[in-house]
Amino acid sequence: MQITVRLLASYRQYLPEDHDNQAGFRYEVQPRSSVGDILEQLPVPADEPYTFFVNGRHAEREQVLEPGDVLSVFPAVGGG
Amino acid sequence: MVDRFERYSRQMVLPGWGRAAQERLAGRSVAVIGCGALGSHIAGHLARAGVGRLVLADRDFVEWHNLPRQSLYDEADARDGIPKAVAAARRLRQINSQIEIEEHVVDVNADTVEGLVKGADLVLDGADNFEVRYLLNEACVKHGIPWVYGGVLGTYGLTAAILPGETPCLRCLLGPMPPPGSMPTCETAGVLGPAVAVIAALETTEGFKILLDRKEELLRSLVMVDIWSGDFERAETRKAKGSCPVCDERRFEMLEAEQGSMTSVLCGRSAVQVSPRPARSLELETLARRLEELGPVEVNDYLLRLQAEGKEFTVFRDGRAIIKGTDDPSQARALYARYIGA
Repeated sequence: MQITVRLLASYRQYLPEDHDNQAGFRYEVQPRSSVGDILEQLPVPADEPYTFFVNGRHAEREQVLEPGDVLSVFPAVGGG
Repeated sequence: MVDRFERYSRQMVLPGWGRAAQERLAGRSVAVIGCGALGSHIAGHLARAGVGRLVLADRDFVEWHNLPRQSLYDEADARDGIPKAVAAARRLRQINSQIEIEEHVVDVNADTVEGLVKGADLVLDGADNFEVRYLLNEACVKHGIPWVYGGVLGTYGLTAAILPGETPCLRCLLGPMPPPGSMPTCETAGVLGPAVAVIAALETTEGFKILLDRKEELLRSLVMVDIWSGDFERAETRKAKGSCPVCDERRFEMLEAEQGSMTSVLCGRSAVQVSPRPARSLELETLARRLEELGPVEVNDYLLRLQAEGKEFTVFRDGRAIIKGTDDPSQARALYARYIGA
């Protein structure tokens, strides 16, 4: 099945070429994949805290994705 | 006699505001933890809006590289190396003499954080590192104090209001604390002033809703903004039926940690802070006379500065020192012992 992935702020650097970040990029995943499964496959640094949401709602890693879901990932921000 | 609320007329006319809201604000107390870029914008908004009591906490002093975005400070503060909490309080008293301001030149750590936030109706995050934020999260959850997280880096930032017991806490939203030094900071990745202003404005606005008992209007979201790329995102947050170690299990590991180390590396600044525990009281003038033979010394009402061995020592009255020119804690401890005393 396909979902849409959006990588935001400094994670834009990890986007595939020829993407449209507002729309995100399409990503083929196994049916019944969880948010955590997909996060592990994305090129964001595994040892940094980040936040993620599905269809505009903060999500848990265990949440099972549905076809057409939009998964957005944003780095945690520590400066100020 | 002039009505003391006359100056607030343009906000009192806002829908749902009025004199009653203004009086409510005048009776509220807010702790602003960190008085750098975020903290100075936030404290400025709060003071101008007439929040009755502000508690300001910051461990640092004003430097020239702060001036592009830290809105309460000027060249004289940087030249004289005035502690940020002191310079901020001074400026805020010029802005609004009707309010009470309590400034603390202090390292926010497990020993000090609860004393700073207890009694506050709200805590706003002006910190510049995750360690202080995760500590604030524990202190606010433990004491049931609402707080608003905000962070900025480069041209983007993130903010969320946290109501202990009602909304996810910082640990729920961001997971475990990253090890100190593992994340980019404003020193290493840069930061743009207007990005700070946007996040500070969002933090303060959520803060007003809490102070005015208008919690039903809170965004209850993580708000993400990149002012350069124009990404404005808002993700609804809900408290999961989970087992967050902080807000579900009430394990406050950072607050209760044994204070093993008295040093902390100030990330990206090639500087180490040495904090004797418990805090001590130093006679800076006496110390200055002793150190004069070792290198150039300057002293003001708040701190002493010494140049020696290619390092810059800034020593505060509570015994704390920031040693610039090293990021090695053991070297910093040794230098502290040599110059200031064990």
